[in-house]
Amino acid sequence: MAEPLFIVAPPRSYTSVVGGMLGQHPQAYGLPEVNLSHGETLGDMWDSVIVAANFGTAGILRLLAEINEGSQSEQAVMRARHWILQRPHWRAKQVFAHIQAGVGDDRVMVEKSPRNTFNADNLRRLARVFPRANFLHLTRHPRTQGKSVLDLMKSYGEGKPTTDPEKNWHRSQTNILEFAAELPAGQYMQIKGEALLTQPRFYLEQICEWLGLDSGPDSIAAMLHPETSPFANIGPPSAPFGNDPNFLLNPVLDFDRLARIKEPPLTGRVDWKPDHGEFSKATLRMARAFGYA
Amino acid sequence: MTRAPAGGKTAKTGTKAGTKAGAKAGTKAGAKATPRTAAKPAAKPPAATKTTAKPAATKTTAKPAATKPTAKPAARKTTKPAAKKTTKPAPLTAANLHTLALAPPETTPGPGALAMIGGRLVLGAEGYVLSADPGAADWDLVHDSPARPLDNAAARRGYRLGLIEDAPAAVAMGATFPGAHAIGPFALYKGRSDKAACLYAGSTSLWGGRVLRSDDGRHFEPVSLPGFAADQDDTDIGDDLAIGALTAAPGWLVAAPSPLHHTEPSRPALNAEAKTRIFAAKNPAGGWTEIAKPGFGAGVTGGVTALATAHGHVYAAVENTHRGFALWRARPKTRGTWDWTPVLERGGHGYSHAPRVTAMAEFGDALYLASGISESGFGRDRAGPAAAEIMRVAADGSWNLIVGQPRFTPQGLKVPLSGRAQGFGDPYDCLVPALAVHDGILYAGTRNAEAEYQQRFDETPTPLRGGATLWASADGETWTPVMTGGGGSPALTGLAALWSAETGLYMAAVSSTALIALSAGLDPAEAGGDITEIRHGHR
Repeated sequence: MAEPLFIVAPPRSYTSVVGGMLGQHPQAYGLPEVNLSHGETLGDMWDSVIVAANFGTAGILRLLAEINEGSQSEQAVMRARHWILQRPHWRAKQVFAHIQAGVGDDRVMVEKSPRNTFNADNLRRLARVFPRANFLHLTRHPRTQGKSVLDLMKSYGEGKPTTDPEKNWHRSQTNILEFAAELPAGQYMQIKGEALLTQPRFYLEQICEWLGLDSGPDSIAAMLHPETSPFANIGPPSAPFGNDPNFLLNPVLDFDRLARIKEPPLTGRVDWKPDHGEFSKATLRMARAFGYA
Repeated sequence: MTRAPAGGKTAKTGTKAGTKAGAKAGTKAGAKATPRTAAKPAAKPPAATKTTAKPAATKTTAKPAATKPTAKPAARKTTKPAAKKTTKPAPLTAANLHTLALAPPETTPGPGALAMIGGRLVLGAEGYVLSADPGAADWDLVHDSPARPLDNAAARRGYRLGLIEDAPAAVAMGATFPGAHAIGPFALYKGRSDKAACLYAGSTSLWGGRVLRSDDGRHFEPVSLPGFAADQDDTDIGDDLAIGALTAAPGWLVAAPSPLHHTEPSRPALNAEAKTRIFAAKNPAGGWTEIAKPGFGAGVTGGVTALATAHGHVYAAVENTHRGFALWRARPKTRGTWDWTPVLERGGHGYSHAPRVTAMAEFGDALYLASGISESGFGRDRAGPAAAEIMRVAADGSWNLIVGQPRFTPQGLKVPLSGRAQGFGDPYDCLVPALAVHDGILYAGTRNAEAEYQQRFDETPTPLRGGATLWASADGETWTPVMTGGGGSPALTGLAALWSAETGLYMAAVSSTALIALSAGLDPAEAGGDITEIRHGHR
């Protein structure tokens, strides 16, 4: 059985587009956000993410509908919900085994739920299920990530955040790094999202080399079309998302726009802070270790 | 020993500087002037799981569905230097190593501050040079740097380094400070006016670093003006206080000002914002030429931590604590500034976890360099933790990771060709202070912080763990340990310098008396400074 790849990053860190690309490799299968690390059992997970409605449950519903019935119709999603509610005692390992069987044993599952990083135990849970899984730590500049979080919340009418996006960025990154320190070198790799998106062919080839996947031109070309994924669109009414809504609305890569991605400076005033303060020393230290200057 | 080192004596007895002026000058000069003594463990590093890297090339996670992968790991695409020798040399073993001499107490050599000339061992330390016959136990103080009265400029520099608490008061009270507070590294070079190869040394001083020369290992004289001043009347030495990088290139001796760090490791180096400068001399006693435009003409700032010569190029490694070290190289040119080009940037994409190069050596027509943060694995602004890495640069400028964290880079996927992660798999091997080639083998000496973390954090005393390791490689990729665990003493925390001679490989091995006291059940606070012993490896 192929070992899965987990893309680990805080929310709004290009995980949808990068997961979408890697998931289109002919030897891989890109999953929507299934959030299976967010509890010991399927029931635990379901109870903890259902409050987030479409952002928490849509991914697993669409995936189960797709692999169980080859369709993401409203009826198929309803049956997927029923399937979940009948199996609250299933452990993540069983659910992942069901998914793996559905996508094919020889395909690398590519999973990217940002909730994986909400605490280090979620990540450890994944490593317990898949001791040889690979973890790709996707980083994004804290300034653009924070702004993206705020923009999304504004778009979906969630108002002002209760915590500073910088704190969430730092907490998720800390969880990832704490977990990564427990992994053998080579099972965890770090990449700047900005670098990957400005030169996707170049870095996708390196990621394939790391994973032992084919890095030939056909495979690279396939990855440049995340829009061909069955999950790269708005889903049925009861499970519309399961991924970044902006990506689902427009999953076709605009290479010219990607090539223009710039990294802002680390130091200096941060717009969203009430007093226009700067990033904390801890954030600066971590961002510099990721390669932001 | 024929005479106590004056530098150490001033520091210990607390003469003018320590007692009269209330300044820290006298009390800190001997013990804290060199960067290596400043760092103390700030926090525990991550779980000390000793890991071995999993090179991508060996992975079997998925088989291609239809097409066979055509690309090999990029790390293998670059040129592998050709081995020069046809017969495969064998490295030394632990049985080949023995202690040759013990340096006087509290002698702590800086990186590269061990050499041999005229059959005598030479050890550079805090403002003085010791020399010994390898067959005898006694050391002679062969060069001393008498204390000088502090002037305003020197006192201000001392203040900026954390060596002097109150600069105006120190000057007003007539406080003194050693004329040089560190001597080393060494390089052998034959200048035009030298009858034979001489031993050259860099020095560190609040009045400006200088290059010293000795033709016998006993008598040293300065051959450059302080801070590479243009002439005797030029008193503007900027922050060029440490000449901590030297290399003998064909026809040139090359030297550069190095970073000088505050005793508080979170502070920036004194010259961190100054443009990088490099100097060279065909005849060091006859004058020096600036061979690079300041900052290489590209705005590069920071001191040079290491210089080396490989495949006809001179390499200069520049410290950058936030972005990671930069490596530049140039071919020697007879006239004008040399044409420097960048080879590695952003710490080989280890970024702020690879801010400085601690050692470089040519081996098999390639340059090997070791990078790291500090002795404790933490650096400026508490960056870290990170352990040492080793990289290799081929003559065509391509590079490979030998020891370290696998990474994606603009030059392709880099996996450690040794199969060993940072610190050779030991997260406490924070630095590789010394690289040397001896008898066809590349040796790497580590600096290990595990016992110090134990001392600081373990509530219940347990047998000390850790200790420096000496690694060896015949091909630059397969590494085997020659000496592990400090040779049986975890208190032996560092191999500060290695020197290859016809008579064998010499090592300056530094032990912490605080750790020795701890392991003996005594109060480490009452222990003295470091103990340095010279170990000798030969068949």
